[in-house]
Amino acid sequence: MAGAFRSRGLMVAVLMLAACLSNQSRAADELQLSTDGWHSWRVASVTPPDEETIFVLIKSGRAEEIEIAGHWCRQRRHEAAVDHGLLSTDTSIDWLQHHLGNPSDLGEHALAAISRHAGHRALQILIDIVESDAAADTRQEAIFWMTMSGSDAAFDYIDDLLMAD
Amino acid sequence: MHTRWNLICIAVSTLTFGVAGAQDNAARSEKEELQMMALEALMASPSERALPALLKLLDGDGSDELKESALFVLGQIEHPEAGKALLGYARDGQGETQLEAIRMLGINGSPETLGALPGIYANGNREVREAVLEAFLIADDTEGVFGIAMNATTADDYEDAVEILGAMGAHAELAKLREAKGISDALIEAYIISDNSTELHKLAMDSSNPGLQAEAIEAIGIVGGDGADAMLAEIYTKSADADIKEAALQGLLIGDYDEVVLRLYRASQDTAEKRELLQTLVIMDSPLAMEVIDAALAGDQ
Repeated sequence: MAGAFRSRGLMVAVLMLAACLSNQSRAADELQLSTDGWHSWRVASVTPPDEETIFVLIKSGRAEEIEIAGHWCRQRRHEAAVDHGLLSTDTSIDWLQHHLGNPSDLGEHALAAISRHAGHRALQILIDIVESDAAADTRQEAIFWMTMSGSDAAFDYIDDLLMAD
Repeated sequence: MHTRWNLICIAVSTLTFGVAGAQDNAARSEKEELQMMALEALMASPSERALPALLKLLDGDGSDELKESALFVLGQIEHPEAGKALLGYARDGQGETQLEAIRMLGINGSPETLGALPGIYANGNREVREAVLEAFLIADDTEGVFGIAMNATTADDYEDAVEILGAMGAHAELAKLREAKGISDALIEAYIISDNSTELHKLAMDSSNPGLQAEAIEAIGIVGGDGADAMLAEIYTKSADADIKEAALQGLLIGDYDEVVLRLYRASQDTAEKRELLQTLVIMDSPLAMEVIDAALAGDQ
């Protein structure tokens, strides 16, 4: 009897986990910003405040602007933004990463936005750019946003870089 | 607090850090390039984050170039610990690190850091003393340089300080020095550097020290300005002293006042003097020399 409970409980947990993963994966797949106008979503932040809100302006189906509501970006009125709620950092980074390398400001803004995401993946993207053969400006931007993130891990990397023989 | 010199220095330092640095890109390794990028990024970082990284670098075995850039960043951080650290490197640092730290105290420009400079000067070697003067120059602290000039124990130290006062255009401090220490070559140099034609005109009329008077007269030609040509012509015309006349002519040559020389040539009745004035016009590469020669050939003069 107890074994059956344990077994059923385990099954419920597995199903709940599966549902949760499925939701996350669907969210990743379903982050479609096709309608023109402002869109926004929240993600876990690398440093306080706990969440960052990212705003994206879509025009003719293409991203025109990426902004982060927070410490260094000017605040604009985005009342009309379509709110996509709290997204996983992977979902958000997946979308933003698509715009890295864009020669306009969009590329740097995407980089800046990625740098604000919690978790190791965001920092690793910046590190990969720094250690790549990308243009010097891009690598410099990656280092800059790394330090601006203020995370311990980012400064550990900067420390190692400065002390490298 | 940011004065003209201060801003100029920051601009120069920034250029050194950025643009000139970029010219050295080829000479730098990729690792050094990244390190310089990281230092630039630290300038915008919170001071409590940047400070430990900078101090670690400054205490390490990095290159002088990297450490100099780190000191520049350190100088930009408005945090008491940063000022304290900078002062420590300025007092006890080694070689270029110490000299750069001293200059950065000038950029920092706070009364506390500037107040430490005379002590560093007093205990430093010649390079350190020069760096202290540069720091005062950067901070536009004429009082600091004046103090060093007043307390100078060697002629070289006095001349260096007076030269800096000239570069700073510190007319009041130069006047006080003249009163306290008397006129000297160094002061005349400072008057030239600071374009102080008023003092030079006064000295040019002071015959108590003919050697310095002659120097001042020549200096009028270097500085130029309103009335310089007329004054040199007057000295040349009225003086009976050959050395003073020669100095006035040198002043006219240096100031490129060829029309004045031509007038003196035409007014002169002395053949030797006319020859010398004509030679002066030729040395000046003045087209008026050809006019004189043509007129002489035509028998006009």
